Amino acid sequence: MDEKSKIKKAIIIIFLALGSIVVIIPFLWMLVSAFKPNIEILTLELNVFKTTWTLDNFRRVLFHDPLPRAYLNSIIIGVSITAFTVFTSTCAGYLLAKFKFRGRDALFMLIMGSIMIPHQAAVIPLYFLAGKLNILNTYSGLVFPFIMAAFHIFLVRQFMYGIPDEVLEAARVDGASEWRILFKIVFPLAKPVISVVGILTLLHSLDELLWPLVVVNTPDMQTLSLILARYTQSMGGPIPGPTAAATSFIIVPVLIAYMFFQRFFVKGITMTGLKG
Amino acid sequence: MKKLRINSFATTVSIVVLIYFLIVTVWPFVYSLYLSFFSTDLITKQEFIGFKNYEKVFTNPVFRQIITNNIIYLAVTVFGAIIIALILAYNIHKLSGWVKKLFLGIYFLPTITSLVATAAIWRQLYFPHTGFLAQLWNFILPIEAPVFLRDQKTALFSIMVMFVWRVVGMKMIILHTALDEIPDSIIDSAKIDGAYGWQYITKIMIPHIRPQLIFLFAISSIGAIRTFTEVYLLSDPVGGPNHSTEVLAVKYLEEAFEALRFGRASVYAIVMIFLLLGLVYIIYRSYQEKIEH
Repeated sequence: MDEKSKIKKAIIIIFLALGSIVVIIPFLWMLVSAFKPNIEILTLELNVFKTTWTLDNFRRVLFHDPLPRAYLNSIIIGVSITAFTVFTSTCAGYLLAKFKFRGRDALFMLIMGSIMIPHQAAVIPLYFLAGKLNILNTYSGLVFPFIMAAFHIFLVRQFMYGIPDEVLEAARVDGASEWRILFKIVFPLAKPVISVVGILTLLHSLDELLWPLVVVNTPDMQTLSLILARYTQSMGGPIPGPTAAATSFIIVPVLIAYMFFQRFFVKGITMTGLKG
Repeated sequence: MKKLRINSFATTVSIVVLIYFLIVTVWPFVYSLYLSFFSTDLITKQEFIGFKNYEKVFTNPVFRQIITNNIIYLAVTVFGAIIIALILAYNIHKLSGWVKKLFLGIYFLPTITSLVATAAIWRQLYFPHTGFLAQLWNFILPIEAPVFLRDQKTALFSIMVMFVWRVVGMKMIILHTALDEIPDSIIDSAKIDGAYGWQYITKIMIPHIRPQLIFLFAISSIGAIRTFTEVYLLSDPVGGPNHSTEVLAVKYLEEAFEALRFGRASVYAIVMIFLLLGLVYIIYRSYQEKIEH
């Protein structure tokens, strides 16, 4: 019996290890190709050792393409979207979970209904609106469709049900104002869900491609996603080296953060699932 | 006095939220519906043409291709990814200690990496003849490698493979946590009753993780209807070859900002919204069933 279960376990491990190779190969390819000249990647003989190492790809990405500027833009946009979303979802989620007022259920239905009208199906009206407000090709224009998100409001609302009313009541009896309660009690208690909303929003906002494609029309406002789209598409011929170098600038920082804060990432994702 | 203060917070937040969602979702829907009855470039001309836009879209053979593509994309990426994730979660669940942690960590990696960056890498991997996958294929298999994204028979499938590769870890983690939460007493009594292997999976495990399965189905099928980024980045040319990878969101963008037919483009937006409406109805119904069970 013991022998048998050991063999079973070994089979599972081998199976999962083979799967892991499939998962890791694109990352390895990126890390290796970033330091190799294009021609060598294209004539690959599945040999990593017989190779010339070079920093040309990084030089090209950093100095010939506007990657640093795009990096800055994406960080500004990503951080703004994240800050807004964290604040608005916490307020709205708290409101929907802990207050009783007329029209509350209607408001909740409206928020959840917005899932059926995503920005992918609203590009023309949003573009029209941004034009009227004169915020095309600006940071505000890139941020405004994403400052509240139905899914995150829902997440916070579910989390807030777990906070006992007595805590809030006690503060009210002490004479704290509602805004004070929000900042001094609700925000600290909601830290777990806030970190989830924050991480998910930040990762998501860096990946947004459709809206920047429509709104941005000068090189200095380009985002990382736009630069990468240009790498993947217009250049026709294979440019594996620079692509690998550019993507590693985006992937490696997140990988490092993941190594240190793995529990946060994983907890965050599972938290979204548990409330289903 | 106290009541007034409570109201000031609640009123402010509800009004701001109400206005925001009216502006970014309700108004766009109404405006798209309105535009769909016009021939317009949004600047100079705007002419009422009744249902002509709908006629043009629905009689176009490409439209049928687009809907088929979206549905194939939904079916394969949703069910394919969930099934693979379940197999992985089921096996990882049987392990323990650092081996288990290691596998959880590895399979989760693609989920946290940028979709845009992932697509850029895979586009290079898929490159015909000289790309990594083509070379690997020719190294292992005796038949000539396909040209992946350049062939209308394999293009959509190649995009779906990349997407499943990316999302499987997220689903695996959620299902794994769900498996962890099945009480030991239930597992033990199932074993006493002689429920092993397949029987255990279908009779005990699946019903227990049903809420998570519905949740995963919900978020990933909604995502599949509005899919844009990976299709836009991997298809070569965009939506091609020969419309084999055209999906609603991509076509909507092309009609609007390349053809400058904003009226006709809005029809695609309306179609997408109604598909999502239908999907949400199905999901809502299955949640109701869950409660009844």
